Amino acid sequence: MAGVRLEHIFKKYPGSDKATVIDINLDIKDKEFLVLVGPSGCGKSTTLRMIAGLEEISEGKMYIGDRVVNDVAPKDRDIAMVFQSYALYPHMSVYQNMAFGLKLRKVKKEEIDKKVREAARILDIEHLLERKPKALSGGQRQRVALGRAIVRDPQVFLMDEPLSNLDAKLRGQMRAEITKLVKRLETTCIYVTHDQTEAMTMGDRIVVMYDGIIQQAASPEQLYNEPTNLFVAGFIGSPTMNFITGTLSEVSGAVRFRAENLDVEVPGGKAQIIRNKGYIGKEVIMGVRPEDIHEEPVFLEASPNTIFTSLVDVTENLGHEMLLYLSGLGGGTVIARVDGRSTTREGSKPKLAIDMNKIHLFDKESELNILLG
Amino acid sequence: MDSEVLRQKLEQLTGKRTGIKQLGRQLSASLFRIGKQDEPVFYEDKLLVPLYESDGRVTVVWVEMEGLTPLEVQLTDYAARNFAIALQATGVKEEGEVEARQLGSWLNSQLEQEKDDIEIPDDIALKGRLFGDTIPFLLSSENVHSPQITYRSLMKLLRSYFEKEILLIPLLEKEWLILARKELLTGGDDKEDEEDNEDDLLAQTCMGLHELIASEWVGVFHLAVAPAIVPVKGLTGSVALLRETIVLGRIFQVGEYIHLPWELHLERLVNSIPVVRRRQLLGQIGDYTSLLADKEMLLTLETFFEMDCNVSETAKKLYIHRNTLLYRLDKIKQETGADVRSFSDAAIVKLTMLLYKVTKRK
Repeated sequence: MAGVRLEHIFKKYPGSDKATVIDINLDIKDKEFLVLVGPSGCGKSTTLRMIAGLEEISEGKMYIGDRVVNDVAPKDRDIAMVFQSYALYPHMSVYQNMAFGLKLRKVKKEEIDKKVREAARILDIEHLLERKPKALSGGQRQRVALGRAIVRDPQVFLMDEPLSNLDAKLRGQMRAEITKLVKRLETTCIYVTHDQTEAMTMGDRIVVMYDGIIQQAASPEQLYNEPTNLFVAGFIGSPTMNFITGTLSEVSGAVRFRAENLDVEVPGGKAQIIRNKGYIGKEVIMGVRPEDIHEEPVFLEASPNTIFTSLVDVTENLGHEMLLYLSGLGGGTVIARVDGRSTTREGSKPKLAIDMNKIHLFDKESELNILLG
Repeated sequence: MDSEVLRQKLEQLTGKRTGIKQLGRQLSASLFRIGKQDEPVFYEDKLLVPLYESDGRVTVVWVEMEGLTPLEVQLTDYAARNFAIALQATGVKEEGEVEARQLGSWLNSQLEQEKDDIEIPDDIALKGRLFGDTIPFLLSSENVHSPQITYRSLMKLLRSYFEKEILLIPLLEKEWLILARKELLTGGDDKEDEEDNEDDLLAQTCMGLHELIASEWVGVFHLAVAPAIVPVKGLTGSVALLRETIVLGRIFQVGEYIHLPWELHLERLVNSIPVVRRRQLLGQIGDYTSLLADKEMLLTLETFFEMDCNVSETAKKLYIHRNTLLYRLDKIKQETGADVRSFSDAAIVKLTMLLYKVTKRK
């Protein structure tokens, strides 16, 4: 097994004005499950394809283990890939599809047979081995593509949106299976997805990309609790983080955040950072996760300086939780996630309070998190 | 020196019609001692000098006999033998590379002269294998740093993949034509496959082949496939189409490596408009520069058109909320006056995008 290192990697397509991938630096540890996540066109697939050797690297150095692989052909990189399109070999049976890579590497027939049957057993496709790809469902095809990768016993698995062609139920199931499988095989895995749920549940570490640039690389917990900028804060979490534009001011020795229909006190530790960084009197963006807005009386009692009142436009009861769509705060809609047994109804104006220890403040221009670093 | 050059030189030397031909197994066995060094023979008014044998078929260089002097016969034999020895030294003879290069060289010269409807002539050694229904693939490598691609290694990979007879024709330095029997689409025995859409089957086959060559061999390259042809008549036209498809794919499908001619009709039309006229058209349609320079908007429009202007499907494909998409479409309308939800505006915007891509207006 091996780690993968990317040093100042750029990708620029001929004829285009701007690079698709810009100065990527990443050190992926041996046996790590790393997820590249971001919206369409952010450069995550291009980065993966460069690791695979399916895209030329315009600038920078790529290492697999201790070896620079910029000029190494994909077949010699000891990697195995699984793609969204699961391009199976249409004229071959499932068995032949899985065995073909080994056959090319002149692995003995008995060894190939053992590996293929073992992978088929793990993926529960033993009964499909004689079928052709066209006779398989989407989920089955994806399993075959995974099987083809597994039998190779590679140093690194590369997966590009492998589940996005599957229906929701199967995705959930396959998500857990892939995680389990990769842990069991003890292989480094680089996984590309647009889906933050997949990223948060599968990755040891997540790299959020936007516009060809790494926005943040961190553990799922850190990404959720300490987003470095507005993009990451908004991208990770569902429903997304609420953003309220307002001004920070010093009132009677305390720092307050004021916006339309909202006036709340910032706790001491955060207030000191704001003072030190010179943000008093400046307009900033406050980020609050929906679950950090509370309506429980105990919380309201303990947080008198963060209470506000707002009109509930819509409620969505999901059973175990209820989403309240609040209007008028900072001029936009704010979502609060409260207990599913809440009695709050549409059209009411309940008292709510923000857990100010969990808030994030972002510079309006640079969009960086003021409270970090 | 490739076999086509040998043929041309012998033709110049003798002033007689000359060709390279791969003989059938039966004729090979009756004229030559397979597997042994052999002498030239006279057959049907031609001098046949054996070059090498592959799988029971002997490839010969032939020269028309009439009026040939004994000295010319000797010289022909001498030149052909030296060529065969040189080939043996490079180790290419068993793969049929010589005949393939001869055909490649002929195809290149026809296409340079823009002749794309010429039948394969008799002096092309592989002609006898160009009569069945065949699927042509064109592979164009883009690797700058990788080592030179060899005919032998690619042929070996393709043979093990298709498990059927194929032809690999080297064209330009990094360009290869692959001719595979049409049966590969159906696996040969599945009757129900015939009902499947041939374009879909070709696309799947192309994807499988791309995956194979990319991961098992060369990495970065473009691949195009065209509908099945009988090569003896349709090969020049098909190669011209495939070359054009890859050129259009490189311009219009940046970041993609599989290009299908039936998906590039509009692109072909736009590309055929002279540059000056394209710029005029762009000027007349209106200013879309800032819109099309915005990566997010461009992706939104491309996906919207790819999804047949279906809002829900586009939002799903872009992984954004339907309302976000509607907001973006409204913004486009505000900025350009074009509502891409209406057919006529959508058509204009689509054409503008293509014109913009091909002219790369800054």
